[in-house]
Amino acid sequence: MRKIKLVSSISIILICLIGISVYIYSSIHKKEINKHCIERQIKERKAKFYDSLEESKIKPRKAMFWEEYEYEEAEEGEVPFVSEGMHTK
Amino acid sequence: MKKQKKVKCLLCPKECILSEYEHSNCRGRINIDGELKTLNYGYACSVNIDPIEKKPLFHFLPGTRIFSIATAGCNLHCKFCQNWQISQFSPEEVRYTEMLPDVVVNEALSLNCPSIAYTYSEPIAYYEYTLDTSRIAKEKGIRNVLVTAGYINEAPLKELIKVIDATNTDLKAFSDDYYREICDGTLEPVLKGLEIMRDEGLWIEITNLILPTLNDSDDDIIKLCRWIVGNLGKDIPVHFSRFYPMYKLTNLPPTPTSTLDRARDIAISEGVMFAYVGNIPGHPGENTYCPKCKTLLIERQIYFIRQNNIIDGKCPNCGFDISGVWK
Repeated sequence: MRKIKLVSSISIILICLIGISVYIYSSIHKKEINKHCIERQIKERKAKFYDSLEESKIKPRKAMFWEEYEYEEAEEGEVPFVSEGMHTK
Repeated sequence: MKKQKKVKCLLCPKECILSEYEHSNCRGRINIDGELKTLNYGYACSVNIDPIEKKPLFHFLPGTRIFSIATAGCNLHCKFCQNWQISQFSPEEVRYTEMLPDVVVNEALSLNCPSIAYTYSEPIAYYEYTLDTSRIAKEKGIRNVLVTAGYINEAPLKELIKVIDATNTDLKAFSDDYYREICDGTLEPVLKGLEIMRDEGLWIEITNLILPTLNDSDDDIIKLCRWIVGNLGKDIPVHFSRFYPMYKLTNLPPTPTSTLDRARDIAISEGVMFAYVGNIPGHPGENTYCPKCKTLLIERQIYFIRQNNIIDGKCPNCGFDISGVWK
């Protein structure tokens, strides 16, 4: 009886440890994916923009009436972009 | 997580928050490495000489030609847009002619145009180009006309209208729901903008495009006219313009002539002195009549003047002062 109790306790502890490890691993991984996603999106938009610029020969000029936008970094799992603008042309 | 260099555009009430290499909603601006840049400065996609009546401006230098320019882009997205081929595209996507502000002004001068119109798409979407061209034009004695939907923030509007002489502003409907659902905008900033323009002494004319079933009820027109009479003045010309099926609203029929006649009658009964019917060639509602003695003052045929009887801004019959900029 005592042996069964010991085995079940060890099993529970083991399951908990596995659960915690999976959680930690997935959060780190998710963070990596988010970071990678943002970098890739910016890179794609940048490439697309410079392609169109090359084709059109347009020279961008500094605009009036704007400011740097202060914002909180997105929490893990939140949508990384919140914008009123257009992601594509 | 990488912190991005975001920017917030403060030009119009949409106040786009843009990530790196993201276009603004009007398509004319982009965030390049944390700095907002304009993409349409100097890239005119439409350049024409029009009769000023085409804008329409009926009480501002009638019978003159106006040098008219536009670039691509617009901060509204009206489902009925008549110029969607340029207003709903980015500057890189349309054919353009590179014309810097001094070139525009010199062209207007050499072609004997007393005024320049920023028109066709939306001058707010090419704000810096409009502003710089207008400043040079004003220095050289050319007048500036803004044909706009008036969807702009107060600070940029106040800066721009220092060098603008007249405007035809679209008041698309007197309903915020209409602005939100049909135009992707809101009503309040347009009304505020019109009041600012009136306070600054601009010559204002208003266009209301009437769409069957969407903004053609008596109530819609009464509210619009009452606001104009109460807040801008009863001498502000109002153009009720006919809709033709276009862009995303090809399911609607053209506005019946009877609807436009009704709108004009309502406007006159609400105290609007100069109510016009537009987009119906040969309609008597294109003419200007004296509000006091009903004498025919200006007879128009499409965009052309057949007779102009106004003398020194007055009715030749009763001497009533006719508001406008006549020379």
